[in-house]
Amino acid sequence: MSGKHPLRTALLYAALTLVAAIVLMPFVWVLFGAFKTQGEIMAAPGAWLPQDFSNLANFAELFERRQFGTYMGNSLIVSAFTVASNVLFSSLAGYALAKLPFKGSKLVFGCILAAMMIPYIALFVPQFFIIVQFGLVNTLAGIVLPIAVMPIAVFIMRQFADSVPDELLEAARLDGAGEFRIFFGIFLPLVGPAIATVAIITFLNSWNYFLWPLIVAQDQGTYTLPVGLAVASQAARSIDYGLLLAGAIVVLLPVLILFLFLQKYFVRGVAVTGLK
Amino acid sequence: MKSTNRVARRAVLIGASALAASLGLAATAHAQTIDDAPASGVLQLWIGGAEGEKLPSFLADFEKANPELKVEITQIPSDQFDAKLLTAIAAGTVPDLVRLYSQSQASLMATGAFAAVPEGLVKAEDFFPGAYATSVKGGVAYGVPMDAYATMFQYRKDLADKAGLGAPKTWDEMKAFAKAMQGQGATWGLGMDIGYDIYNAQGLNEYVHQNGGGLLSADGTQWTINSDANVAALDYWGSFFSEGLASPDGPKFLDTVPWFTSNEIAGKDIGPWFEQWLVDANGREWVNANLATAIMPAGPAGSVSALGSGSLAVLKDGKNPTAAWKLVRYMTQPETQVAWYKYFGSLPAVKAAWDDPAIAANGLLNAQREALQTAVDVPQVSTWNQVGTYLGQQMELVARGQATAKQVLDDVQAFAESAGVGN
Repeated sequence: MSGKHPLRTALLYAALTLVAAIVLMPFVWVLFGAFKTQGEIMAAPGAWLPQDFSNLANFAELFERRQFGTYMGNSLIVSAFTVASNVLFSSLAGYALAKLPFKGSKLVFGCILAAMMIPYIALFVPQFFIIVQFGLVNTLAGIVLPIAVMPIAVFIMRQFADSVPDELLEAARLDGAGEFRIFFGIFLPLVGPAIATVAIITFLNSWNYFLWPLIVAQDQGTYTLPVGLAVASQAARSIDYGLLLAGAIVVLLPVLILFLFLQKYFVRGVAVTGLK
Repeated sequence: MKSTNRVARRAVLIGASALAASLGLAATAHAQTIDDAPASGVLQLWIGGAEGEKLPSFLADFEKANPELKVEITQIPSDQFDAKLLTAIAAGTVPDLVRLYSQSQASLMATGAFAAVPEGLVKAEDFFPGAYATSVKGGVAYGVPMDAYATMFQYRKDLADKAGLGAPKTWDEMKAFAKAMQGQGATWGLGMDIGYDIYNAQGLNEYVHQNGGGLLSADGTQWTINSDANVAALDYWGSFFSEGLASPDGPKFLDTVPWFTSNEIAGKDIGPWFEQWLVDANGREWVNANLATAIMPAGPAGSVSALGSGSLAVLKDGKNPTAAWKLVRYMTQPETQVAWYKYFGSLPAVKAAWDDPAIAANGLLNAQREALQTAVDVPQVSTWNQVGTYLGQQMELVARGQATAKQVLDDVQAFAESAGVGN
């Protein structure tokens, strides 16, 4: 169809390129800013190009003196456990809610929907009390626990599970397969795209999580990257903008790499959940 | 995104404050005294800002003098400091010692979680009066100032010299100065605070005091935002915009240095950190040749600056209050204050430290020292965050000629009355 209107196609691409360039501009500014000194940024905040692209002092400062290695390790652990836990438990729950009729299943699903609608901020203080009671303050487990099973993940898995044909599962049952065999051998391979969506959403949530890790951590050895970035970029009565921008690149990089490899699942995740 | 974070932060603050208050953390004064024996045990200190980065190495001498003590410092993002501490207060997981910010400490103080300063630990008269008063509630001090600053009138000395002018000393002279600077090529005479929300309100607080007004009644129980003196002060502030002497569009944040350097503005009411910003951007030589400082031009009631200070406060539920107070005493000794200034750059809250040549020799700080004597803090009530933010936003209507000072302050007064003064 577009081949019939080459001019229209060209205009469309030109417009899209322009919009993409505008959207990318702030990211380019952040990237270039990561190579600037505080003096350069103070003197000309709107300038684009750094004086010296080989100036890696901001990155070196972050990793050599500002514990960014520790923060990144903590973030990776938190995100890995969050993703693994959400994928496992939300797929189990989604399977049970969609394919194993039991008394009260609608009520359970209703509670999960209700949980999605409660702003997490309302649960913040009670959650912290529970973490204190469990003795998990200042631990990475204390950061992961409240997001180990996100209601949105259960919702996504339940909706995908609903679309798996009952006949396949029935056939397996008739052949004598147990529920766990059916779950791992038949159900999980069929809902691969849903698992990818859940993994991406939960990874982004945990990777960018800020306030909760800050509250749970009691010393800097337990800080995650976003918290560490906020701390590292503080300067006397100001902000060290070079460190802030370099840190933003470090935080952004794993997400960017993930996006490049899992682009279609990202798009599907946004389409299915309406969340970015 | 930022506004979402703010809303989230505020929700945590409100939730945690309510919980902390409901736990019945009533403040009671203790007539405790602190001996001179070395401190021991573990001392946990939470601190926002960049100080936490430098403090561990700075405290090497203190730790050497107290070999049985281990000081554990946790650096916290300043923007979230209150949310973190309020949650910790509510849950009983507090550190021993914290550094509070004068602009936001009222809501923390309202929890009653802080211990009274022990008798004889420090002398109130050793500190700048405004800085010390910030942590005093009902006649009892709950914190000791560690650092303090006051805003100053900072201007382009080279342009002023060309115009044959010194620093303006009165409101009328400030207007004339702005016009003269435009005559010397400055696009706008002065840069007025605009677009800073609560910090605009902090700036207005200076002007209302310069005019003999105040945002709170003397007993601190009533908002007096729309008093005649305050309306006149906002009128004066707004006249810089209506007369074309200041831009309603800036400078904002990072623009301040380039605007000041490139003659967009020739003067600004700003804190002492401005000197270092200019050194970073333009070098020391440029600063020596072009920057001058003075106390704020006086209104009918005199020259008044905005005060900012950081105080050290000990938590009642902390595990090692004795060691915490010993560190407070150490940090507020004049010689420690000077050393900390040299090491980090924070200006001392202790008056005697200003006699040291390290500070006294910097001519740009003379005005700072004078300003600190009379600088005023923002209203120390727990609703200041809401009221100040709204006031700062509404002030822009005056700057843009969309409302009169009277209309804006009547509106903000009604808003403030509905918010109350908290506890």
